[in-house]
Amino acid sequence: MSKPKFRSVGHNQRKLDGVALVTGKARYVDDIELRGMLYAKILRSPHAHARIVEIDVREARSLPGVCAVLTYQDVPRIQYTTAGQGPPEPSPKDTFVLDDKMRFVGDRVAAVAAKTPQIAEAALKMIKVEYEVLPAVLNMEHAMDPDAPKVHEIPSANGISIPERNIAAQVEVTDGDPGRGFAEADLVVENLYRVGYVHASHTEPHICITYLDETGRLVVRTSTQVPFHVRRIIAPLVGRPIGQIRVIKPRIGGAFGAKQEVLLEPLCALLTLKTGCPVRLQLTREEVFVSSRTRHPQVLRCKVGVNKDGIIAATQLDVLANTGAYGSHALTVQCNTGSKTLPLYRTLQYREGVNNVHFKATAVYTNLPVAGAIRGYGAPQGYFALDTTMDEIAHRLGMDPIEFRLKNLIREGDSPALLEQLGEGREGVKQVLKSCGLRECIRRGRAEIGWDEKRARRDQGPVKRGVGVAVLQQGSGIPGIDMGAVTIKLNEDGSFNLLAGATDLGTGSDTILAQIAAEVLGTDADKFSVLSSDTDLTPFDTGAYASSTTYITGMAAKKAAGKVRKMILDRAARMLSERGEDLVLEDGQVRGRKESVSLGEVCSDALYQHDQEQIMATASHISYDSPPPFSAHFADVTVDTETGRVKVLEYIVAVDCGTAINPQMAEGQTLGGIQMGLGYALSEEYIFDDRGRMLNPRFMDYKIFSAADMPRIKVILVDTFEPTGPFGAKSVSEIPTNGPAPAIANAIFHAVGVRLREVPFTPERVLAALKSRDT
Amino acid sequence: MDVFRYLAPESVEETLQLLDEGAGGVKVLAGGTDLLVQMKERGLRPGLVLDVAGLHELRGIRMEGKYVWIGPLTTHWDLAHSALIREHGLALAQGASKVGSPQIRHRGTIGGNIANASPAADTVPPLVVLEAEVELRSLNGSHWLPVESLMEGPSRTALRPKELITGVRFPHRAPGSRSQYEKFGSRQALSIAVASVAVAAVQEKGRFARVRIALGSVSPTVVRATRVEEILTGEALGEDLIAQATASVAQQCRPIDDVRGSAWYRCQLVEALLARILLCWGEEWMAG
Repeated sequence: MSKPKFRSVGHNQRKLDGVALVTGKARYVDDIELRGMLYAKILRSPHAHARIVEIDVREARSLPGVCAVLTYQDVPRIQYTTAGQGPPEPSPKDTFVLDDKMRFVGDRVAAVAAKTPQIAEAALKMIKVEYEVLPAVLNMEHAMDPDAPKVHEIPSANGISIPERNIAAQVEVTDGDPGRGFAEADLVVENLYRVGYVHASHTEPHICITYLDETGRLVVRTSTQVPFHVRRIIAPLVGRPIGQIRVIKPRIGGAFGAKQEVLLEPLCALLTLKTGCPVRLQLTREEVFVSSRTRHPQVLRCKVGVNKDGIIAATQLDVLANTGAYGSHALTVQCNTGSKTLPLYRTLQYREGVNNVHFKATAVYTNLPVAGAIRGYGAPQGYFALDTTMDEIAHRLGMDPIEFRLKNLIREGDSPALLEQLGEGREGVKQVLKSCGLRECIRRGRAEIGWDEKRARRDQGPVKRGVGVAVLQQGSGIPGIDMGAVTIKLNEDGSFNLLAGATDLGTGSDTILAQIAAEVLGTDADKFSVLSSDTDLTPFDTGAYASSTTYITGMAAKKAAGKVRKMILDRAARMLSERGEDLVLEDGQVRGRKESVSLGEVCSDALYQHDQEQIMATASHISYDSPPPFSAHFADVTVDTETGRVKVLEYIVAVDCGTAINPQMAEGQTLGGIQMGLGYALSEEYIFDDRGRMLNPRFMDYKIFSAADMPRIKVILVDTFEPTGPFGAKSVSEIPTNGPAPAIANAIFHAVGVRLREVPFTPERVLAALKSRDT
Repeated sequence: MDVFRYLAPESVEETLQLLDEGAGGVKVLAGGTDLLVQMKERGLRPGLVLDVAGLHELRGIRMEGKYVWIGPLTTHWDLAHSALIREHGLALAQGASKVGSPQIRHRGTIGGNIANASPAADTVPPLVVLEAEVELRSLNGSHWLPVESLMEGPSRTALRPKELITGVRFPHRAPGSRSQYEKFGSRQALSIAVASVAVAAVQEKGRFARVRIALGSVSPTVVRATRVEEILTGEALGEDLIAQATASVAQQCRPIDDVRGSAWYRCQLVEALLARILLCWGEEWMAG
């Protein structure tokens, strides 16, 4: 197929908000100062598990400048889930805005609103709490023990799988006949893998400002990925109908999933309703570490059987996940650990999509920080186990790791049956793979890193080099669930307003949507003024998650633009007295065979001259496909066998995201995902004491990759055309996070012959692995 | 941060006067890279902050008799880039170049790094092996004290509340002498040492005539590895000697487990870092 030539799509359009962002003019949540605004602070539990026996706030309330103090006695006793997902929410409703039981160090005891942050801090110290300290569950592997303390006592009617065993959620699916597959396999490899807590590390902490407008409606200005879910979820908690609530998402300083949560808004709004005043509630970095949301720690047992020709016979993945004190995203993240990984490979007797696959996941409660959505959403954990296992099998078979994978990867036209069973916390939707550039990703990445030469290399001295590969997929939105809507209207100067419920978090989606609409309307993206996510002004969108905005909302933008285009052409045909099919819309002009009119003239005609109307349209989009982007990652590393230090010298990423609407931004997303993945693989780790308190909740001691640590990274965009996506686009934002852990683990094995089965591969952990091999 | 008094004295004399009147609760502000963090995040509440950044006589690097003199307000950046320091005390330039990040190296000072008395301070092991001294001055006069004797514990020094560090010095490089500093941090920048080793030695006729070794982040203060120094003194560098030296260095450590590393790992690291320095020298001695 020869590729169509686009005027806007596929170009490195400068971000529409770029200049405002880099000149400091963009307005984040905190960039407004309202008259009489109060500052809120939260008192947090010092105990991992405790019950409040008595709480005395009288002294705090009487401190001058304190306007409100809320405890569990002052808020409605309604259980909800903080997970920002559509109803019926797949996450258990196990959370109160404030409760009398504390379930982790950092859980919410009380909230204060005062005239200054200093007064609020001082008031927190005056709250007297008597706790009955309870035994705590601090090890996920013992959470299901019969004598383990119970984190939640509420009935399972709230969506908790088995509260008496601390099981928040569980899922189990079988496809084909894995038992037979393993029995017939010539080689079966089975190992345990461990991944820990990870911080999303967004620059802007969670923050929210709430106030009442002149009509008494509640306005929530918040740093969120899910403004419409916020509005719906807080309505019962604050006792207001949805129509009395407006949620505004200004510029966002990063989120990465950790803001797909309704954490601060109910509490902040209740303080506003109590005082009548605007209230600002911002978490400190320490609070973001401990009390917001993290990646789910997991213990994964991965078992793969293979015949001697290198064809996979059966695959089994058994996951134990720690959801922490609350079950936010407990079911769906774990579903994804299987559904985003296992379909990547075919197994023996593959027919009509049926693989010999068994997948089981159990998410347990502990008295530790709460996990939730973070970029990759379960897939990074799954790929660490699955891809490392694939590498090990290739080694045991004496095959090149790439050749082994190539024998088993899925192909266009495949329809993995597992995806029909394993959806987003419910049954899935049948998927047929319509675009797959995976083999091209592997081919180009392999050449770029110099795979064949580097695999043959042998080193002298204490520092060893190695190269490793990982092969990955993700999804594009949640099929049958995610919906995005876009409104576009034309102005007299030929400019457009684009109103989208989609939530630009710094991701660049405002620009992407404008590029897509501009393509349809034959104009430039910077003719669009984009307003994203104000529940009063923009149409609905499920939110910025699941790699959905370009694929889902992008298609809504394309459809809305198509409707506007038709209105423009119909009117222009009348203005030019020509037939519609003879008109061409390009460069802001409608050209007929004889004359042309500008978009501005068309709009003026519509607004002031004939049959007056606003040229404007709204369109929605939902997809029953979730086409996976594909990627191959290659890491070239050194391992210092005396200190255990792993250094990544070079990292190659080839990614098939369909048509890259904006190649530079697609590359930026990929680089950012690699940066997150490198820290996850090598240095980022929550460290706890024996009472469940995090010891390193600060960037000095929690090591994300700094600029000085970054290796040379080369991103290769492999062009494919996804027929169900806008101009052939698929997603790109989450997939890069999946690769560094397995690619680096495999490179370490190539360098020193040791398998690392627990992330992060800190120097100490690597040295210990080397020493235990040597003894 | 609570309210505090801030004064920026214009001379050393005035500073000493204010320190004398301050009666505790006074903190000296130089680069602020430690003090401000302690005030903002660790609850330090000084009544008076004395900003000495304007005391230009306390800056600079120069030869003074048989010493290299360093003003205590000299930044890590300037130390790392000074030809004089690189010539006479390479380990110190290396240590200064490993502090924090470029921004911190431009603000942080050698006097502050010494006074903060962290066992992980990057300039202190080099200063100890270079036999450096600090000048402590008060209204009652001044005296020079070896850096090694100044360190009394984590964040504790022999510096009295009314004293100010007014100079740092170490002897010229003797013929045949050299020094080196190796640090292991958990990443390339903005990283506190998990372990560090500094070595200074004088070589005569292929043998160690004098050798000093200091270890960072493995004890409550930077410590000398005197046992290892004894093993090396008088000997020629060879594989056996290096093995013997590295095998005994861990015995000189009293490390702790913390978020940056376990005691076990710190011992492994000092062995690896010491071996790295000695191997590198050994190869050059053989070659030269």
